[in-house]
Amino acid sequence: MKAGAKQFFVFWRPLPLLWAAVSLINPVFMTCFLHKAPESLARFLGATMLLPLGAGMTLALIAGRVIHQPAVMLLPGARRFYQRAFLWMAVAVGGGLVGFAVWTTANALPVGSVAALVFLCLSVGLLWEPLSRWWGSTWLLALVTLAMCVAGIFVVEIRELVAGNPGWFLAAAAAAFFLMSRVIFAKERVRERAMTVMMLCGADLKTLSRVGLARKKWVAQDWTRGAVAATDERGWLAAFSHEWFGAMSWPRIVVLMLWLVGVWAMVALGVVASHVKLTQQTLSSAALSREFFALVWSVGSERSGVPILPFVTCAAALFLFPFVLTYPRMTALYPISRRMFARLVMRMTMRQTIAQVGIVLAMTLLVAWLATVLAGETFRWRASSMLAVPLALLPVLPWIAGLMLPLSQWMTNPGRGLLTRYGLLLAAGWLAGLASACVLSFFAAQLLTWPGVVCVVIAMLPGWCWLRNRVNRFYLLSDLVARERM
Amino acid sequence: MKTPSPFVSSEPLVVENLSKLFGKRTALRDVSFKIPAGRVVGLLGRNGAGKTTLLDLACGLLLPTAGEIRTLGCAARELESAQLNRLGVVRQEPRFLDWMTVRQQLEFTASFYPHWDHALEKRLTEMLELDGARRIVQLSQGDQQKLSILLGVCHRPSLLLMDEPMSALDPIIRARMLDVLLERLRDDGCTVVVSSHLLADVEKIIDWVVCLDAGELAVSASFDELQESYAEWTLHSATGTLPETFSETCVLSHEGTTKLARMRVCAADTASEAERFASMYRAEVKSRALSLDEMFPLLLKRRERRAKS
Repeated sequence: MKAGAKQFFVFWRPLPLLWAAVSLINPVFMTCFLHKAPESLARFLGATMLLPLGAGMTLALIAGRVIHQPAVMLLPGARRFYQRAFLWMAVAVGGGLVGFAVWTTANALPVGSVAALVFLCLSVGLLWEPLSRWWGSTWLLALVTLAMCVAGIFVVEIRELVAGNPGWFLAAAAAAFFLMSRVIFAKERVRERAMTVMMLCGADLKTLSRVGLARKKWVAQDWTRGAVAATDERGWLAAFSHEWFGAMSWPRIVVLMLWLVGVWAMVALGVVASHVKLTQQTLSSAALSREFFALVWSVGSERSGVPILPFVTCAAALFLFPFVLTYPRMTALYPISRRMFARLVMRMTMRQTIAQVGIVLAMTLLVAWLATVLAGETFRWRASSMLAVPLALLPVLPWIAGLMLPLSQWMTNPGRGLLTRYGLLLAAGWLAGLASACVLSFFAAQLLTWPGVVCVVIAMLPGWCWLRNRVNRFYLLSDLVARERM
Repeated sequence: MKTPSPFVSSEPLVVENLSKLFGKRTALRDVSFKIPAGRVVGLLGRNGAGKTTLLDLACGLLLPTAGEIRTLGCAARELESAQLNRLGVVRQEPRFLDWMTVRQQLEFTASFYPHWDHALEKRLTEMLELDGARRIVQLSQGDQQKLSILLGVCHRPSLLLMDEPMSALDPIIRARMLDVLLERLRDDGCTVVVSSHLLADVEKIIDWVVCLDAGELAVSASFDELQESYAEWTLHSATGTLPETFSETCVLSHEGTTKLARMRVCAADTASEAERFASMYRAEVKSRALSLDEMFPLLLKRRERRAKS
């Protein structure tokens, strides 16, 4: 085998292979799923045109994973080799996409809508990893992602989207999207959770290290010491910038936002599409686009006098806002809270425990009651109320969980915490999140169909996981600090 | 297979007024020195002195804030394949493509080098007791360090930068590693820069010392020269005429009584200085050469004194 080939094929690992397999199977599967079976060779070929795209993305991913490594950067010719390889892959991906878009649009094949959305999911999900690792080409990748998203949107054939029951497709797309992003983070998450649990059970770093859980990056340098030093020396703003800009570059933040917006866009489309029934009609692409937006804008107006799209968009934006606040909150609070956590984590009294559980239960009941009353009286439900209530609660629950931290702080340090600027920021973020989640859940409930339910549930999962991760980190960090200082 | 390096620069590593800042923190400040070809350089310093930063700068993984660092005759920030072919790097925290096996990583790395020495690779794999079939992610820290060393030397570099290469190795493997390094020196005249806290080990192979202290250069000199300059004296005065303190600038530390004093000194010519002490204090002076371990704090102390004065 030639050196170049060896340099390429020596890279293997299960994840890219899995993704490659998904890229191969997805279009075929989706074609069969939506159309029962490939009706013609042309349609089947249309589906399989995603192959180069998927393969290109996978290779780009591998190159991205590889090239950032110091071990590779010091190899003679490696940087240039992988840069060149990556550029070729980007060209292949872009070319494949354009060709595919032109071909499906020209032939008005229904597979176009499927492929475009699958590709949309794949692109952002796949690019997350190299974007976060390969700093040299992050902007290029971000632009490619953006271009692909835009192209994907244009490729979507509206009549396909809104005809039949496309909500199922969107639900599946959202699930794929979510799963891919979770797969990327799964290992870290598991490790983080296990580490947190063990720390809470009293294990020290030595023990964690022995069982292979303590990660130098976390424990010694990156966010722990960095955040400690940043906050101790320069205060909240430094801690904020450490968490956001130290750990995450701007491109990564942009893609993170794209990812979140992507999830929410898909949810919104799923909710709308599962509701709208249109007769199939043949229109030009431009007319279809106009029709689509007019349609989306008017959805809901007929029923409730409220246009859905702006509301969903606002809700999504509001929903993002507290997420942005999550990072600074975690680092901002801990200098005050290390005393708190010394008590909370290690010496928490029974009274405090009961009070915290009580707060959570009370808030849950309150929101459940509100949701039931509002949903029952204001909106028409399409499913049983037994289903509607938990659905309405789903988006709200992370915010209830989020309330635990400041309340705990307030309980153990009365007069502090909530009254600080961090506390106020947190409270503002929390209220915004709660409000937007309520709005979203009510609209979702109004348009309730099974695909809509699936979409909403899936959309809530990242929020859940993220919030839980941040809470875990907060506990872990605070615990580490508490142990270090005591 | 043994392919000699195409050429050996007369000064494979040249550092000129080099500074590196990480935000507001200064890692290196105005450091200048040159390393002659064919030397084995001990890069010494306390934790946080800037050793790793210096080595990362030397191989182009970091860019200097000010000044310049030239590696194998080329600005480190612009190292091309020609220089990378002759550069070996063993990093403190080796990072591999950890989904590979040891064998795959070796094959992968070898594929980039036209003069990879497969015979040396095989010999070292056996000598260092590395299992080629094991996945890197499963390797212990020591084994990862062994692999890192292997990857750093098998292309027969003319400049080898090693950052704490032996900290996780057991004494037996460490001894073997030192043999390998000596062999490489004998065969290829390779220049080695080795940063380590295991001074007793390093002392066996180095002939040049670069010592950093808090980001500044404390010493850059040949080890022989340093050994001649630094010594421990035992002064014995039968009449008890030794002073309680010695004001001579060459005395870096001392302890003892008016009859018996032990001191560590630094002087350009320690032999004649010892004679001068003997006649001045009417004492018998016994001189002993210092090990690198003993010398290291004195190097820092001397820099402190210079900085104060």
